[in-house]
Amino acid sequence: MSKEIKNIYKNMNKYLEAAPKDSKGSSGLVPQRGTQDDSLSVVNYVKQIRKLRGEMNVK
Amino acid sequence: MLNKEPMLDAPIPGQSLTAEPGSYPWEQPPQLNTVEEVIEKYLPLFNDEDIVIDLLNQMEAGIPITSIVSLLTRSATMNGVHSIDTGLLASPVLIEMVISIAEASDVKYTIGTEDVKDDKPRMSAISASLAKFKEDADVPMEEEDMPMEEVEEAPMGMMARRET
Repeated sequence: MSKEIKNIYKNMNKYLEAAPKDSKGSSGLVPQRGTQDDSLSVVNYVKQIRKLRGEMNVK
Repeated sequence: MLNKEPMLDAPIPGQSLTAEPGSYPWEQPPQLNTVEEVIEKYLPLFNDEDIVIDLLNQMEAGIPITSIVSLLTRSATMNGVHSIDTGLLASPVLIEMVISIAEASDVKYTIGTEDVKDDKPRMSAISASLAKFKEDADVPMEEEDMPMEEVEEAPMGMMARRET
């Protein structure tokens, strides 16, 4: 099972690296129409944890 | 090396069919059904001081994080908390949490996904060289002619001169 976990983690890393970085564009409704929130909750969790960890390391 | 001892601790074929169906926790419907529920179940673990210390000790001992997470999810699956697939899907989040704990505590860790350059020789190469060594050892060594020192025998008779 450890092998499957490694594969999942590697694939998720690839997905996150391939995904475009957060860009702070206009907050109007028209630019937001095209953007989709990540439907994968696991990816969202991982993104948030990495973001928090990055902030902690900067401090 | 080959283990010549028989594996006596392996299950007998058909042993899994001898118990009543549904008698084990993992044969029951899981308590948690979604990935979110599974993640929320695990997150409080990382606030427990004893568990965090155990995790740090394991990482300091060189155990990869993927193995630690695998153990966590597998034991919960065995206890019927969640199914294997939801545990697998939640595992990246658990890995990230464990990495965060390690970095906050300045503990060196290995995730387990790193490409390790294997400097160790393969077992086949070792066994081939061992076989060659054995063959060489079986060949009798040629005896070299060693010059023998001639030792003069001391006269043993009663009339022989005694050494002073």
